[in-house]
Amino acid sequence: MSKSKTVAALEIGTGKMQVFLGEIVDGKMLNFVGSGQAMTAGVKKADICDVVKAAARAQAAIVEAEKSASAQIKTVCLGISGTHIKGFRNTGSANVSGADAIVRREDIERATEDARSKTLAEGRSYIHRICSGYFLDGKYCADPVGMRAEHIDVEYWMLYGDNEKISDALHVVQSFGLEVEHLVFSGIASALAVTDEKQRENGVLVVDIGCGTSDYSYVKHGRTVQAGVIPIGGDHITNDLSFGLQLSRKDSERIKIHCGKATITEDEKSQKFWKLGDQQIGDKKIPMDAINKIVRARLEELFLLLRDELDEFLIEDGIREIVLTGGTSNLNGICELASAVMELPCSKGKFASAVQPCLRYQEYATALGLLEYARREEEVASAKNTGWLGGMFSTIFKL
Amino acid sequence: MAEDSIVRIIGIGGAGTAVVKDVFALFPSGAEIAAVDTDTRALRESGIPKTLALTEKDCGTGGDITLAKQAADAHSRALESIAQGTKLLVLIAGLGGGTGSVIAPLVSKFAAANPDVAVLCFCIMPLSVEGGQRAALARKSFAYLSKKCAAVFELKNDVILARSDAPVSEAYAIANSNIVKAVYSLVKMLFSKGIVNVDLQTVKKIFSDSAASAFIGYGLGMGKGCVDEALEELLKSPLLKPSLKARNVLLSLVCGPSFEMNRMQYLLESASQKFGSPARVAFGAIADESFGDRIEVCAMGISEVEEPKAQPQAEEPRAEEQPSQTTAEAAISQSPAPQQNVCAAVSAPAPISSAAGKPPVLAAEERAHKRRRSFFSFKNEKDESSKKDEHAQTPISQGEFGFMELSQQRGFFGDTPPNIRNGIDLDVPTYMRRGIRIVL
Repeated sequence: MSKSKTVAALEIGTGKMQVFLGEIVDGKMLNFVGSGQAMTAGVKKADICDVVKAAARAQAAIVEAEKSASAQIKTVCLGISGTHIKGFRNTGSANVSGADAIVRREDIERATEDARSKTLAEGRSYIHRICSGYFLDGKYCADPVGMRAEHIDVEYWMLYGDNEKISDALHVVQSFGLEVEHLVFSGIASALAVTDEKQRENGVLVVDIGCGTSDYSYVKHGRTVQAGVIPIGGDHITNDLSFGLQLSRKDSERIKIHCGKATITEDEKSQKFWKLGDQQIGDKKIPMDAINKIVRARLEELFLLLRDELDEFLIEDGIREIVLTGGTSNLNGICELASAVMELPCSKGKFASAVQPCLRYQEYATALGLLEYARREEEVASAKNTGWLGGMFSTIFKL
Repeated sequence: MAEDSIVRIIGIGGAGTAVVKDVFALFPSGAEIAAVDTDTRALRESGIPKTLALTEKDCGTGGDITLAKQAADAHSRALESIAQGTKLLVLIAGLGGGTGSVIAPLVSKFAAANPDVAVLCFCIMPLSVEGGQRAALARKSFAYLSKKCAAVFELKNDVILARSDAPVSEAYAIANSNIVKAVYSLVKMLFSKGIVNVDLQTVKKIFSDSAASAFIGYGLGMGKGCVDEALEELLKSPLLKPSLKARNVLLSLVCGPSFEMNRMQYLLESASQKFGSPARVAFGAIADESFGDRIEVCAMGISEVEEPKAQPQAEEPRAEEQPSQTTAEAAISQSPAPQQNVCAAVSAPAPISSAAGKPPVLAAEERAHKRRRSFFSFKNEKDESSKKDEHAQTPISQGEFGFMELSQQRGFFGDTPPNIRNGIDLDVPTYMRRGIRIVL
């Protein structure tokens, strides 16, 4: 008899609250059953600054999703982002204890414990402690159990945030009686939605450029090696345009969406757009060259900051490609610019064929990724329950 | 001017004429609009029907204040008549050049003699790259105007044009639009049949304290969030300080006929709050069908003087610095009856002032008595010599406009903590930090 579970994925974004409902069958199949969306309030730069307002909008999105699926949500897989999220790499070590120098599960556990045990400063909590790889006597090893070595190192990417901000995010969901089952960094969720197994194996950098921030995740050998937040998003482009073109926020946003280009040709430089179109007082012509200069400067800065953060992986056997997703990745010419700055091939996120065509939008990457994350967790939990072997497997290979 | 008008808008010099040309193009009727310049060709080409040419040449003074003064001498009566027969005189002049720097203070002086006339002056200040001499001249004229006018709006081209490498004509046109918008709103409030009208007396009361610094801002909004949007744009105006504490504010709203009362109330409350709960708020609203869901908000007023600043000396620029002073003085004293090459608008010269016909010897005596003489200390100037001395001793308390530091240019991230990476606040626009010039 098959076992199904309805999961709600909630993304508290700077631009929108997105809820997707999915039905997970036997921890394997994921069926999309409903969605809800609401404009965000009380969130700036992906940080919740007004819990009451944010909770009200999140509730509106959840109610809409429940109606669309005719189902009641009990638990939520919550995506989290924000400028407060930071990460560091921590390595745990252990000597292989057996006289035969064969790596056993106990050796890995000791190295893992060493890596995970680092305590944070007061007021901070871990969001993820992600195993990014094992090294036997200094060499990478995907599956160390049973291998021969004297020393084992395990690398962890430790992603943490401010307690207060994390608590605010949890409170948004808990305030209307729901429980947070999984708290997931948005960048990790997005990477699950827009890349395939092969890309994740080869080494892919996924950058989810949202409204408030850009969340990135570098995945190699199927593991998240590094993830973090660059505190620049689409709102920064809008704000820059607002200053540079002397426009209101609304007009800047419209100009960004309809005329914004990260790279332009010589011919396009001379193009001009009317600010309002009525050609009365207050209206004016805006040259494409000016729009491009502002947009390009901001995005160049974003990619340069990314390049600095991931400098050690910009090597031959490091990041192979860049995948851009999130609402701001819809900007024309952004892939070309990212490619030029990072000197790597770049493309927009591609969704799996199983994803319904109506959901294949870059804006939905996080919410779709959260559903996939929940499915994977469910799959691991199911494996644990099916026997001791499954349990061991999931412990080692848990994301 | 032939008939008394309620509002008279006068563009003085090349810059003033260019602005008035735009004002005239927007509303050819309503206020009385005229231009005064030494360049007859510029006046002809402006298309403004009412003009006063101060010379018969097709060129300006080229920044020579002596030439400007000579031209003013020749038309002193006509200039005096400009300041009479109106209740609100709006002067628009570019300072730093010859005509604007000389004629605007002169007209303001004539207007100051009549307590019934309120004078608002929009001064376009020169770019610093135009040289220290122009800047010094502009500061002197500005200081003088500050004493004589109810409100003096200082528009620094250094700031307004800072982010533009547009062709000169285009960049200046954009800068001029600040004044055009303010004047447009003011005249519309006074003349259009609005939902809430503002009378001239109210405008005068708003600008009743010439010691305070004046400000203008303009915002535009559309759709549901139009009020917040318009206020946001208004407060972002380069001519407003980031945390402005206004004393008196004149708010004008132009909106579509469907604009709801509660939103109008919200606009007033928000504006009042954002301007630091000013003592006096005057509000005018006009419904315009062409606006649809669009609104325009213009705020003008005077702000609290936050801290005393070193002010340039308020006395008129010194004439003895000018090599042709003697000639100029002679021109004053020897000038015959005022010339009549005044345009139709300035058709009826005002009565000659008591000092108009004094012989040259008197002018020489005046010079001996006066501690200082200005390049626009004309015939009736001596009557005010004692007053001028008082003014010279009294420090001017009018503040200057402050402009945002780069670190404050955070727009709608202003209410969030700084976004510091590598010592840089990422919320500040990248193009600004990198010094990229934006051509509009």
